[in-house]
Amino acid sequence: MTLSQRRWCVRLWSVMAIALLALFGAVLIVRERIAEAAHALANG
Amino acid sequence: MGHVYKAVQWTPYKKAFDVGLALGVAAFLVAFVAASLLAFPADRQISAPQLALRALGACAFGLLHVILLIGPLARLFPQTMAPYLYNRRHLGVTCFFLALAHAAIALVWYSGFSDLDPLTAVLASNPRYDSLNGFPFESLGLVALAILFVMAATSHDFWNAHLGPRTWKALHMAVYPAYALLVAHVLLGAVQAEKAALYPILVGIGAGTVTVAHLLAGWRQGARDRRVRVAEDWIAVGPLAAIGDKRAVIVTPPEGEQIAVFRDGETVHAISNVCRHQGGPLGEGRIVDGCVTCPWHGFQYRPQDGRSPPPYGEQVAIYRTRIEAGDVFVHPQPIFTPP
Repeated sequence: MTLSQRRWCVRLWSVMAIALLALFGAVLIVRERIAEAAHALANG
Repeated sequence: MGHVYKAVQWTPYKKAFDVGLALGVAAFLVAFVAASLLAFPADRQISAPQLALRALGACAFGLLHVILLIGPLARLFPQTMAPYLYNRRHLGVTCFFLALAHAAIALVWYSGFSDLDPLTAVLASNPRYDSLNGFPFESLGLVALAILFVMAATSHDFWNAHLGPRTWKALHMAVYPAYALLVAHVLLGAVQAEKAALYPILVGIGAGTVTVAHLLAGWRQGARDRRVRVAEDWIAVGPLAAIGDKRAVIVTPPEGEQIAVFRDGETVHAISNVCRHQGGPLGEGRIVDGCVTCPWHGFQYRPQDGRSPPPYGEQVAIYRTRIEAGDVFVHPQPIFTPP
């Protein structure tokens, strides 16, 4: 692995860390909302 | 250390590694199926094909985490983890076949009875790309599987030699976007479908560990690069006594590739840090039988002239060194650069 490839790796993982964090947050929020909606439906 | 290409050049270590790998995969699959059968009551049991595709998918995803952790951990803990780099490609090929089996069962089970062919049905049946909870996550898995296929197909040294180590490594760095696609595939698929908190927690721990390990290894490397001191065109490496015997210190010149400065008794030699085989970090290896030995796959170079011992023909760049008052210096211009 050349030096430039190693530096690209760090950049790529930095971007991926932010993207995965954002996706994770969005998925958890959606799960929470679905659970709330299901709970509301179940309780009429 | 160029060699004649055979399908696999078996060694006792490789055989033991592959037997351990097969046993590990089998143990995971059995444990997954047993845990699923025990965890869910009889009226909530899923069908056998669904259980098989989940077990295979979980195994492939878990194995991918192991593969991705070996690289940064080998940089952070070279003494313990570097040997695991040697057969990492066997893990990658195994991961692909597990993922392929997972995809095949999913295609047949969920789309096998469609009027369209199963692959078209998967890609065309759900166009909700603007939805998070209804996202067609299967397409993310298929793209990741295609990337894993390309990497598994080109994992042999034959392709490394013909593409060149730089191109080969660039191609195989596609495993990182493939991993991101698979995390999204799991988050938008299994994690949405299952209500238990265990699933997002496990995925979060896995993705967090892999990401932090890569960033830590990269930042540590970057901090090392910034410490280089250049005086009158020579790079100050540090005291000779600070370099372990038969070991190296890696320095990053202002321009060009990194240099591995090896100590051999009271003498020092400087060669390129980039192995000609797969670009492995020679400076993280050591001198064995008078030759610098790459920690990745054992390719060897004489530290005096950068040549592999006969009958091999590889050669790496070499650099001038000097020792002054116990301090080691290296000149960043190579004496010789191989074509």
